[in-house]
Amino acid sequence: MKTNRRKFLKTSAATAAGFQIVPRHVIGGQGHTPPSETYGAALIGCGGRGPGTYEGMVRGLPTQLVAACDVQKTRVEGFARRKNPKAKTYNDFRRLLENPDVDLVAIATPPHWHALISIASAEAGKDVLCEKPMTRFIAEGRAVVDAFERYKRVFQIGTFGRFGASKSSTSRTIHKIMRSGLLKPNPGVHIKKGGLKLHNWSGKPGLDPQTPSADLDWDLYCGPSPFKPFVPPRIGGTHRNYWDYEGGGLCDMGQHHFDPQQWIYGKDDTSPVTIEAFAPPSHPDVTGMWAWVELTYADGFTFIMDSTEWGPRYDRKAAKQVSLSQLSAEDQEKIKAMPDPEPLLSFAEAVKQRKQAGGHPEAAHRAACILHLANLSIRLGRKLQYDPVKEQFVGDEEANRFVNVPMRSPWHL
Amino acid sequence: MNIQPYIDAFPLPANRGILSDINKETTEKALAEAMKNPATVATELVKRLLDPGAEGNDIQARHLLHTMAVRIPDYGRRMKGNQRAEFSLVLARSLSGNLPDRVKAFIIRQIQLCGGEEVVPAIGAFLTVGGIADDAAQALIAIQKGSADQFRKALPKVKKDILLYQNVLHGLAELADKASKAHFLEALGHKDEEVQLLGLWGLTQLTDSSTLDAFLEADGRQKGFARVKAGSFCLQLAEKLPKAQAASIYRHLKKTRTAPQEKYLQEIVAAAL
Repeated sequence: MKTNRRKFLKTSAATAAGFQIVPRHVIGGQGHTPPSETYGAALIGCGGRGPGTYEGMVRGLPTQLVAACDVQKTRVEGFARRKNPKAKTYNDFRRLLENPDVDLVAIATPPHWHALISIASAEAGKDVLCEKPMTRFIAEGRAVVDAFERYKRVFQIGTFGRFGASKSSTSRTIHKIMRSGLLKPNPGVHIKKGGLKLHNWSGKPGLDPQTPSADLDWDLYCGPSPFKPFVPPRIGGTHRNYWDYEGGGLCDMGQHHFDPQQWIYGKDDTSPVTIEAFAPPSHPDVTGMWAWVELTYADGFTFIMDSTEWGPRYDRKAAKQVSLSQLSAEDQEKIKAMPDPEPLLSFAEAVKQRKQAGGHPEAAHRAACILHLANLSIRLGRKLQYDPVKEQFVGDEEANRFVNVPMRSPWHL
Repeated sequence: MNIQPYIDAFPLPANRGILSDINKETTEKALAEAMKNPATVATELVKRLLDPGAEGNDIQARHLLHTMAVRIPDYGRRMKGNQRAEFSLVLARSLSGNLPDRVKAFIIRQIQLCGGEEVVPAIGAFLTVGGIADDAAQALIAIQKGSADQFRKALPKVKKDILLYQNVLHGLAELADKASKAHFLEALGHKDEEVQLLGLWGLTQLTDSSTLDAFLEADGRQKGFARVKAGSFCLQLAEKLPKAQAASIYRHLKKTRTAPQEKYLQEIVAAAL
């Protein structure tokens, strides 16, 4: 069956965030037979998480795999053979994005490619579901937000905890309290203990270089990141262990945990202003040990990460829930009278309705920023002050060199 | 100066090959001692760096040197001294020695973290050296001050090497170097698609409406993914220009993006106009 792009005439209502998706047009227009209702789906990054990410993207949508891409030939060919042998296979995502049959793109490459491929997909008119962590460094996230706003495409980050969280009445109440601004100063402290796979995703330094396999395009794999001699752990799940591609378990698992918490605590549009870590000096190439990180927002609310796998346990503040009882009776009534937050749309619902998905770029960017700020405090070995509006560190030019990390030519944001 | 005790304070790989045995107190004490003479320690550390795959082990030396590079800017601010520049210059001077390319690349990456204007000539020299040029370019882009000069000086020397040429144009575009307007315009006519795109990117960064005709003409010639990127540069430039000039870009896109799969662009343009 020939797959056509699904286009439809619809005016979409603005979301609470003021985001509007431009409607697409029915092929043939009024009076003509509507086209096939199947979306052309593609996967970029066919190893590890790839197939699972693809299935997450197509859930609830009528789709067919029309294209797949990986810098390692055996991976892309294996995925296409299993899923749809007629799908076109590519080693370069730019060629895949030229394919007019592609409507939806699932991105499951290592994170150093997430922003560039997301942006390019939006520029090519595609909707995107992108694996977490959204980005490798802070400026990438803002560039993704800008691109999806410019092109009015749908973006959903590949972590979904906020959907369940948003259905809990307790979480909705906390969300309303936080968004109201009535709780001043905010005494809330949320502590994440363990579960960030510190040892699991720590890297092995000093390995001897090897020759990459003939089916791997190592230069394209490195892409925007520094071109380094190949060692096997730089590819496959252990890419997580290298600063060139990700940020260890903190980044990899962190977005799963902190994305729903960020929604619950109403912080989808801002970032912490003070970040402090207890950690030993970081290695230049590989991720390693850390004990805890404390991230405080302007209103006083605090996120804590306690690795529980190295060093002393965090003991500066106790966990403290935000609740109605912390407000005056009058303010409690104001919160109860507030409407509940808008339901979060799944990727499928957002694509069909041409509206913003629940895990939209700004939210995903801010959640990734929590992780990047934490890692930077660890790597730089100092307390950091951050301006969440300018998205720059205050009084620390060298820390700002980590905000927008130069990419290898010809890649750029 | 004997720096071995400072090096020994940093860990070797433990079980599973990771640096799990690191001791914060020991490393911080060693670092504090090293920071009493950062330039001298840096000189000695460079001698310990090895080409990846060579016999021996420089894991600890790299770890210590990197830690000094990330900490020295803040240290210098607190001590109100010029330790950062002195440290960076020591590293920069080491680049003229007979070190393996991958060691030079590592040193440049450390200078990227702490170096200032004082080191850009030393790094700029590597913009013409294949295999290290991209490390040099990224360091210069990060440092910013004085870097555009280095890229412009290198440009005539690299034009015959396509990758080095792209690398230099990329750096000038990233720095939004106003003095490179002619270079970006020249790039639009190059036979290499990537060079053309870098020219368009550079002009987008400059936001100079006097280049609009050449910009749009070059855009009109692009195909495939390059056409997608060029379209993005058109939209980004339009967002930064005054209304009348932005409108000419939108009208250009309306006229040129007429393929069925470009309907999404037509909608963006219609909304803008």
